[in-house]
Amino acid sequence: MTLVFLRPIPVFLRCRLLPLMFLAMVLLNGCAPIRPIPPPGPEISPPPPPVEYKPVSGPAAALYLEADKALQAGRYDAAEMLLERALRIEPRNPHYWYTMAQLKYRQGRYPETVQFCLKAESLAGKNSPLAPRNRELLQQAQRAMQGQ
Amino acid sequence: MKGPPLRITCFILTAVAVLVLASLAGIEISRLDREIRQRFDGKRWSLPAIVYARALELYPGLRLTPEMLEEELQLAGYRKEAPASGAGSYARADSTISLVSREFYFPSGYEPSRRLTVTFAKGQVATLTSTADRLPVPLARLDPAGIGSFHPLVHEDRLLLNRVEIPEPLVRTLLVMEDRNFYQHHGIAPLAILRALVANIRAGKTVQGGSTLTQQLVKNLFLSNERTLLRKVQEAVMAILLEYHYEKDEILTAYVNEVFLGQDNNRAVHGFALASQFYFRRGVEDLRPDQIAILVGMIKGPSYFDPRRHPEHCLERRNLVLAVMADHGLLGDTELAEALARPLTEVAVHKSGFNRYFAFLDLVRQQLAGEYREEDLQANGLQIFTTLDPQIQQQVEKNLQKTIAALETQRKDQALQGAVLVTNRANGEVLALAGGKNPVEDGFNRALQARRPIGSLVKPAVYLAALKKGLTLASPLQDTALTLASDTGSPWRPENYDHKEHGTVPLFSALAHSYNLATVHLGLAVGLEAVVAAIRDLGYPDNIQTLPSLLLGAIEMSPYEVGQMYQTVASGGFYTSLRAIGSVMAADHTLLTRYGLAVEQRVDPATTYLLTHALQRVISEGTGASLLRSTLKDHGVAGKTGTSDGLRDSWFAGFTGDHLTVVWLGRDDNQPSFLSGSTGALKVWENIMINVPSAPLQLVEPEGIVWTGIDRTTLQPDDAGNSTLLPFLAGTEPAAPQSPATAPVPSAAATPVPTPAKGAKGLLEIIGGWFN
Repeated sequence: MTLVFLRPIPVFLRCRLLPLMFLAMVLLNGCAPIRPIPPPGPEISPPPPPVEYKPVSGPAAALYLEADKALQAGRYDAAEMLLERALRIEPRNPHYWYTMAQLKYRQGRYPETVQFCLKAESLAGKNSPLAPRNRELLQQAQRAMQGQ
Repeated sequence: MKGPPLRITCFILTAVAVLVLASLAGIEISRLDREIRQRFDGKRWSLPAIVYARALELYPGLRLTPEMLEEELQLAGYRKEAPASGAGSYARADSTISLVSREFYFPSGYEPSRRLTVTFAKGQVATLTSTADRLPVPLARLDPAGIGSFHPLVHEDRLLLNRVEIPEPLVRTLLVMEDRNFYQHHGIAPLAILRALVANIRAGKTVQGGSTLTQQLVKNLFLSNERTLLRKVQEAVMAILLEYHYEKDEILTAYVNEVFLGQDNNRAVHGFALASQFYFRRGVEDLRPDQIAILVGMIKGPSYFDPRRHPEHCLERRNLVLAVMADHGLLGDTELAEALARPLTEVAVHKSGFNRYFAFLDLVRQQLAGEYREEDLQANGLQIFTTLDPQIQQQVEKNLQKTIAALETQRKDQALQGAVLVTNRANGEVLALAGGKNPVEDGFNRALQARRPIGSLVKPAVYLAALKKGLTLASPLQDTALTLASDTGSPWRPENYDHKEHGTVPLFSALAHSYNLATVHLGLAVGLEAVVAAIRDLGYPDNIQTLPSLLLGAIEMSPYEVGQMYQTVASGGFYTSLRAIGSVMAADHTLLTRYGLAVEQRVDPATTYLLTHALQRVISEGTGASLLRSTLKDHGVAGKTGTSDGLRDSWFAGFTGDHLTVVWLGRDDNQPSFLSGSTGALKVWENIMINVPSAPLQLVEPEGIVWTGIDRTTLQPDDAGNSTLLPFLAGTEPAAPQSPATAPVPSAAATPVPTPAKGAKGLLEIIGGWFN
């Protein structure tokens, strides 16, 4: 039998190591595997209101509505995970991609906003009622990028 | 002078000896004490990281059959029983499945256990309701199947329980069988040891053990298996020390998690929780008396009483334990009779997806390697949520193996190998991966490691470069012989697969039929640099040699790298890094890393649209036309066949509305396989995809596309018999001066792209320099 145990550091060592550990924590903070989420950038103008029409009758509607709630409440991580699930179920729903762009905009992640708007646009096709809203958000994000 | 009397000398010597021995014993005891506390205070067990498949989301309309759901539940370790009662069970009656899901902590939060009833019709989920009140449920996420763990080659595995999670019947049976005075003694039971000693001397061999649970735990945790007196003394001392420092319940819990209960290949099954899953597919809270009796009975000899290997020993031992349970009031008469009457039928080895998908786990490990150390993966109980779709993985493995076997019989060649990658077309998630024809062989992962010339799979990049430069699907190309100088001195004379020249052909047709000569003319005309740029845009990151032979696929890629390139075309011109992992969670359910969705537009939607249309023509009229004879004929599949020099490598990369699938076939020794893309890889692709529910490919037409009928011979606008309708960027469609009614196009001045005749001349002029 080969068991691997993690031995705790003896108390006397712990005291001596504390300042070192603190320093290491500060230095290694950048290496932490958690993806850093940049602080929201300055809101140059408020994000456009959600589109009036709600093409959310598909099987992922429940997830979308929950994501929207999380988005409004500022719980961006939760909203993102819910939207990713919704997109796995309805990958070609441009509205969900547009909502992803809105989410990125609120997080101040403008280059990503632009990309998600482009994706939404490519799926919305010609004459989509979503297109003007989407275009507006895209331009706002581009302006915000220039402002940064 | 007379020395001290002998008596005094003896006394002093004895005293010194006793003192020395006592201090030695003291030093030894304090060493043991330190060892016990260090191990027991710290983390007691190293837990390997566990890898999960994607969680199945059920909803009405989902393309799923009852067979597929049943298979999925089996893989996730669900047990079949009627009616489904405890968490992790299901019942099936024709096309209705009732199930009780298990609670689960997802990175996005806690999902409680749910009782659901699913009905099916026409290959879809018809209704999804809550079993209790029959109310419709719009969407339900099931707990995912564990598909692997990261651990050293030979390893222990366990699921940890808290004291409150250990059911009382199990505790009482355990104590009755192994240590009746557990809650009274201080680590050792001298009377029991004496009793055992007498019994063993009488029998002339070891027939009875006098060890307490605490001693057994000490033996398992700290000591080797040798049977010496010194070891026995050490065990007793450590047991007493353990009892001195820790509560009875802590020791009991450690015992329940530590005890060895059998072997699963290289994996040692430790603890009641894992054993319960391993033998009965149940949580410990769901164990019946006969099952408790089996597990407790196994402690005495996990191998000798193994219910699968030695059912007769196991049954006898189980019945003995049941009788003891009844003697001690743990079972009533009817319960005893019922338990005794149960056969050992539920312990058959179940089909398990655990540590089976080597190729995929390889990819997971590779993607984690940048961020997690091997020690983290082997010891810290991380939970890794992957994108693997077990349904698709099974189809991939089954059909790769089956098709290769058929091709081998046909060709009397047993050395054929293959690799397959399936991704989600929209988000780049890797859904299935096969690294060879034998799925359970943990060896060379061809999907990731075999870099082979991609042949004609490179052509979409050549045509993309051309479309970007303003050529159209109707631009005329010269499919005529040419000879090029090469660095090696010997001239290069490319040929078509059929060794023929096809004269002037439209661009879409040259791609659909994979004409080599036309492609070389085209690639030289647009410039090798532009082709290299297109390959890069599509997502190939490594160095590319800018030689003319690149145009016919003299570039080596793994199936995975090919998948990354085609993903960009499949997802409408958006690059998405292929991902096998969604997130990583710590053992305490805190989220450590998330690999979120990101997209980046690399090719504009209109150009992608034109290219994809041409790739659909590969199937509708080109080298992939054999798909038209399958059930996939209406799926609008877009794809490309590829064959490398000397028929060494056979490729097909193609996508539907939902999935991108790349297949490679060839031999490990790089000898000819005598298969083209159509006769080899495409067959595998077809056999996989007819078994995977996938939406047809319906392209969203971007702004600025016009459709024009083009005569296939003259390449002039025409709607008559020999014509075909092609998409163009508005303003680039060929004008038809002789019949203006059929070509409502802007004037020539507004169309900077050369007319077909001019274009052809231009191409020839440009490539003229390459001729010898």
